[in-house]
Amino acid sequence: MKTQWHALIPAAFFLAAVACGQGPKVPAASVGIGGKLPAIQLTTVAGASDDLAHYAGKNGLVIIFVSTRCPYSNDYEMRMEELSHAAAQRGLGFVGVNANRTEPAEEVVEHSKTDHLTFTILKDANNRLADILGASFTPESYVFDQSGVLRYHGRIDDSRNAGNVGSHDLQGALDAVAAGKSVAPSETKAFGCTIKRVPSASSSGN
Amino acid sequence: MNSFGMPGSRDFARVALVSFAVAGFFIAGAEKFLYAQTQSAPAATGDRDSRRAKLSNAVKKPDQVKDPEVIDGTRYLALVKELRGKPLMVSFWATWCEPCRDEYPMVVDLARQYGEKRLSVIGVSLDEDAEAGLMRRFLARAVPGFPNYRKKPGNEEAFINLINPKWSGALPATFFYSREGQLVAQIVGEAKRETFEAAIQKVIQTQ
Repeated sequence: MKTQWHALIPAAFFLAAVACGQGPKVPAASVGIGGKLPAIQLTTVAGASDDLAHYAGKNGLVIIFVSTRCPYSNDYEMRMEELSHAAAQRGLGFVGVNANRTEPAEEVVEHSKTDHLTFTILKDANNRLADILGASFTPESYVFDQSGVLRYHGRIDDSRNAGNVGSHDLQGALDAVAAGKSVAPSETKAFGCTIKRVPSASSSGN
Repeated sequence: MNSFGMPGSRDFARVALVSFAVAGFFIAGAEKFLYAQTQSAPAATGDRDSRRAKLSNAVKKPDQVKDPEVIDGTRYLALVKELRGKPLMVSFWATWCEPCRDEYPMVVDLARQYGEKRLSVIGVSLDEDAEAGLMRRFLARAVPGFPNYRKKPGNEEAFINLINPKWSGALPATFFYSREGQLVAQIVGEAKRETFEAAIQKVIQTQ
């Protein structure tokens, strides 16, 4: 049967209408690949404000949005811990960012202690950084180079099950950035639980 | 009884004993009792009885829930193709996704309301192998009444892009296909029942 293209036009309009009408409202990233590390202050788990740039190493900065309650994010914790050491060895800073409104700083501290996480986790109050970067998920990662330019955005790797990983995307990105090489691919699709944004920015997610 | 209308110590012991026995009966037997009741609901005619008949399939034990077929993106697209002829609603969910768990009963209800003649419904779980037990328990409790599948673990990006490159992968996600198998609507994230109903009505009307 031949497709009647004109008949698909109303359907296409409807698709757009419903798709845009509901769901987590993640603002379009104002910093994409090639963009600059935003000059923003986040909150330490002790409650102090601190410049995000303060956490960069001489070769750049790795940022991963994390969660205390998301099983998907939690399954990546060992890998995040290993990546934090790999980043340090390559002169990159490494910071976890918790932008979930549902997970207070005390919970982040307790969670890090229980799960033996040694890398720094900052709170992103009102998901300001998540909005600037257009982050949707936990975990979702970003790699900025020594000039503060975003060189990689996306998943940590291609399998939640550490035993089935075939593509170590974040590891590859931080290796490339540390070596001053280009990152390919520079963008992958992150997957996991959605960031629990403040209600004004969004109302739902997993 | 004492002068305050409260049980004395011997009476109190008896009351406590009886209370424990009753509580024990309910705790130990409630699930079995409920299961037996729902399984033995008599078949009859009429809407009310039809609903009762549907309920008779309810509350399965987790070990009675058949493991959903594990599918990759190609199999998913083949399924959509196989189900052409009737509008199709696909619910993507996972046990680790809290809004999915909240939304699922509504999806089940909508499937009952619009299903059979007007709308095909399937569910696709994005649970991992390690969560298969949780998923079975969830399905046993939810009693969806429509087929569920489970995404082959790993490589989410390829799966998501094959289904809809514009989908970020956020869950819950519900996709609506016309009777020709064209993706005509999607709801990503939680949504009210009215939004679902509007999408269903529209997809039913789409030729």
